[in-house]
Amino acid sequence: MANKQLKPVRKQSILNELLSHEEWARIRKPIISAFLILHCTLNYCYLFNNHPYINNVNHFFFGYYAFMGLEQAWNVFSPGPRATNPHLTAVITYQDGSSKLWTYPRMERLDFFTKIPKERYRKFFDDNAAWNIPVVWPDIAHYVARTNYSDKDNPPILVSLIRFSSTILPMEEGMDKPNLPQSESKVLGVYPIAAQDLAGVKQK
Amino acid sequence: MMSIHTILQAWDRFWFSEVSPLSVAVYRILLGFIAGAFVLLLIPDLFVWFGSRGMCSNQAVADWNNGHAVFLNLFSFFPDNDQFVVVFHCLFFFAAMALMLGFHARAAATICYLCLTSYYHRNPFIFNAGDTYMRVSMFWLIFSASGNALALTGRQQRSNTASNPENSFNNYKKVSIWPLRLLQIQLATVYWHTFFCKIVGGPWIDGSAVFTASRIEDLQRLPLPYVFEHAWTVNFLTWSTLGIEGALFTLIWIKEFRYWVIAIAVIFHLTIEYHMNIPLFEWLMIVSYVLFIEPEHLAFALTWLRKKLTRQKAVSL
Repeated sequence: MANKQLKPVRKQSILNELLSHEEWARIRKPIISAFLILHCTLNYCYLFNNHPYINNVNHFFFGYYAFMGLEQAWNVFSPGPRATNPHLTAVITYQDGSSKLWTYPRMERLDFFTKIPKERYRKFFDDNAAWNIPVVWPDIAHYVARTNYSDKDNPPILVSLIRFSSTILPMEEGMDKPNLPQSESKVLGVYPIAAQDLAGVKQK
Repeated sequence: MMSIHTILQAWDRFWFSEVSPLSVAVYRILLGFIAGAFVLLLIPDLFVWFGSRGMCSNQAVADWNNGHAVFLNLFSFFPDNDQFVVVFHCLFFFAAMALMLGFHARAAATICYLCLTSYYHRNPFIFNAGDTYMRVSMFWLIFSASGNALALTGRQQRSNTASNPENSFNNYKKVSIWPLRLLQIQLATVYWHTFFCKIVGGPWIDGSAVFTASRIEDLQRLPLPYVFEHAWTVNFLTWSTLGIEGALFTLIWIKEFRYWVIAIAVIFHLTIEYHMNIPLFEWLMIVSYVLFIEPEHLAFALTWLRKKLTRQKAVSL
């Protein structure tokens, strides 16, 4: 078979259809520069939002920035590391009046390998839900009720969410001492559990 | 005096000069690997976080966002559908593997970005700074020619057709540098922001921050003996952290300091990785330093590695 001289095939793209090579070459740099300036400016304004003008820029572009998931903050451990050790527990009250204590997989109680995939629990509970995300408390209560519904004649009727925490002592006081026990408590909410919250749960 | 022409030339040189795609290709491989690990680590609790009967409902997230904003979230098309979550997760895994192998790298990066962003918008309460970094970097990676080297598919043109295999990592056709610059700036931005958030005062200035961080029980992984029991070591580590983070957005841009800064930063992140349980975050930062390595140095390292592996293979045969 004779060798055929193959012509190089140029990839067709929407860009090729819309613009000639020369046209694209002419506008390429201005378009990319506009893209770069916009995004670098947005990043700067979002991260260093310390002036009313900057705030106006953020306000104007926030829809795009948040839609794309580009919002970012790198204030890890700043202005200082979290100075508390918290955990969250739930008390499940059943129809017969009995109760049960529930807690999520706590990092400090897990072994080296288990705590790697379970780290999301730390982020969800210790950094967020235990403190400042009340919108998820009812969902947590319902989840806890569902996962602890084992007897169809004795369903959970109430879930109470309680945060326990302790303050980390400052270095001058705490250098040679162990951490304080997590004994400060606060009831975050008491959530009644309705029959529809438990619908579809298979008892073990 | 500086003319506008000079400024424009500098702009042009910084953003539009050409460079080998090797650095960004190596970064693509490593980021794809980490994205794959991210997917695998989520599997045991996938439905807890994203399921219809999990700990965080779509409604709770909508309430958190005051129900106003519209977000890029593929879960919105199939809300509360657990089968879709499984399909979506599998798609993400295959896209991460495709990204690593360079199989239609740009499309793979786009899918990975869409998946990361959708997960973030579905349940933003479980993601840490490392996940944010991966999401944003993935966005910039879409624009790069990362599939032009070390890839299964893509336009891996060589600048010299009769290439010497000894040099094969060194002769990829050059590509525009601006996506690489964006990735580099993103990395520098992380350290820039964290540095200025810390420098304002408080425990990072008085030298006690590392002590407090070491006492956060849920973050501890393996104990570091001695260092957290003495004020001088705590002070040293606290101020060193500021110094290293400061260097990572300033000195890293200067060729003569670059590799020294990277070497110290790698030790810094490995120490945190040893002591603290923040899966993938430290590795993400470490692999990102590859963006600052000169392509010819990477080519040299890859050639050396290939020779080593080929020799080992020959010996074992």
